[in-house]
Amino acid sequence: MDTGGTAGRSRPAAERRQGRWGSAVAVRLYLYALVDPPTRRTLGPVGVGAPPAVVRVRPAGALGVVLSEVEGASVALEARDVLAHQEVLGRLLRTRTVLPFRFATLAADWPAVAALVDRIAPNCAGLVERLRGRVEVGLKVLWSRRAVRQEALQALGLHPAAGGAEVSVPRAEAIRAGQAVERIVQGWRDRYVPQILAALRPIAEDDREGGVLGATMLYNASFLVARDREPDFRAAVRALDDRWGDRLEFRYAADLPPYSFVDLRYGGEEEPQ
Amino acid sequence: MIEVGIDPVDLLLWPLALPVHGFTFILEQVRAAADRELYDPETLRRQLLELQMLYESGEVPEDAYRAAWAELGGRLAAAAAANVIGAEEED
Repeated sequence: MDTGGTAGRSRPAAERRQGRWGSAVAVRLYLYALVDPPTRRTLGPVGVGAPPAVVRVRPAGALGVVLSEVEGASVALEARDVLAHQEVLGRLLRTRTVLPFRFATLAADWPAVAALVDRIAPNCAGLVERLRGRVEVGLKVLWSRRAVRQEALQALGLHPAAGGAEVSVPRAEAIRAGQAVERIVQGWRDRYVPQILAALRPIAEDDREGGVLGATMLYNASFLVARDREPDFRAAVRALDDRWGDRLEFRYAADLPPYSFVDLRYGGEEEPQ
Repeated sequence: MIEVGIDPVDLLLWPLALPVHGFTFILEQVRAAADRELYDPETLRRQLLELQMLYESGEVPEDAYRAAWAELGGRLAAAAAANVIGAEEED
């Protein structure tokens, strides 16, 4: 595959550009993803940086490289760039198979990108096949404070104070209450998570458990689902919500970049699976 | 006797729920990650999106969200220059 062959034709911009004072200013390429098919396309000014950089898909052999330019030897990314990066991938997911790069991946110039793609393309081919026609969806399950509170009150033999006014209680009692809540939440996790997986795994092709963040999260996972089965998956989540909605909250997100199933790095020792 | 003044609902969720009202809980979880991950842009990307989700779903109040967002964003700004494909030594 001649990924380097495209480098000479319609080079997107000089890799070094004249600066305001006549000195050479380095232009780096910010890499979002590799995509299939590799059809050339301009997405407009929706990329990282301020103002947002123009994002383009540039073919490199069998794959397209999603990139934008950044001026300077490095890029000062900010929190909002995370959202821009996510938005770019989201737009491409609708029409292409997307292998996202790790966030904040830069290249010195186009020949370096072309050489990289040439080197990792054989490994990417299998990954593209595995992801083609599939979407990543995310499920987060949170427990309802109200339901846990009710169960804890019963366990402790307490009655709720009227009006939610503050009360003074011995510290030992507060600790005992906290421990009761912890036991209840762990019990719920042991009880519900296997049932959730039993309902969803038959519809998905793969899944990855993520860490829970925040005290009220019971479970967090990503699933790889065939695009035409996503409505079934969604319906199954809705059925779980109908069944346990009085105590659990289900947060579902579809059409996510497949980060949970791709780890696209560029170091010699860390290439895609 | 030591007593604590607190809303009964929070009392029952204590110590699980109370830290959610401050951003310290999130930051402590973030700090629990391996040191090398503290400034890893990919890890920060994931954490920022998680934080955004928790905020949008009402799990994290606005002031805590803003504080944690700024903290993670600051770390990202410090981290971002890390690796450049094909960079020469002069850079």
